[in-house]
Amino acid sequence: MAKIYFVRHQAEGLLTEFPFAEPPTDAQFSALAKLCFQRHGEKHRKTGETFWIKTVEVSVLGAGDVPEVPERSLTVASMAGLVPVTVSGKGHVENK
Amino acid sequence: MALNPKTSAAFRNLGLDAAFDTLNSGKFRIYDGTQPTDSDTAIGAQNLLADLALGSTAFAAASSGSKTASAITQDASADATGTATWASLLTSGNVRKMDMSAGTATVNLVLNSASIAILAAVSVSSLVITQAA
Repeated sequence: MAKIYFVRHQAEGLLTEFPFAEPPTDAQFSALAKLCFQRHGEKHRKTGETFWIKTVEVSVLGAGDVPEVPERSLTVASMAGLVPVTVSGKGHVENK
Repeated sequence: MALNPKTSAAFRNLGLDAAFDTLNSGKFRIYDGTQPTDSDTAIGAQNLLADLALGSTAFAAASSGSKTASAITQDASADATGTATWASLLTSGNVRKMDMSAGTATVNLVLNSASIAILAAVSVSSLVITQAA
């Protein structure tokens, strides 16, 4: 399966406009780090930590490759192999 | 003969209290990427998106085989931009105890949007653990 590479920044997310056929060189990586710095600054407002930035590898599906999608169950655990434990929660995301 | 053990509500309550009361002052974290095999499997490439705080009494006493979370303090400023796919309950010492799926449908933690942007406010209004009889 072929691979391509993206750069991901903590604040920016995946920089999808810059796919790489090979892992980005130091110069390419630095250029995108600079771009993200211009967009988001250096540090997270809450933690005060410098944003992380990293290269991620992505497998490219060929014509005959079908994505594997596992079945999902709301049962998350089984106590002592006896009976299932289920979890149900509700949350809210308010993007700014 | 069928293998069908059944437990009383009082018995289930004992187990739920023993397990989930260890989460007092713990955390409820939301991640992207693939949910690990189990809570004992270390996190790899997954990224922390939001970090919420459980109460000093994280869950009310179990009743009828269910354990309901006390108020969970929202994360007013999400840690990273990404797509929420799973969440985890952690002790105050950051040890993962229970992982669960997250998303917008057919998941344990149902969010209005799985897409979390950095600095977003992320809240959880309800969380109930239920052990079947």
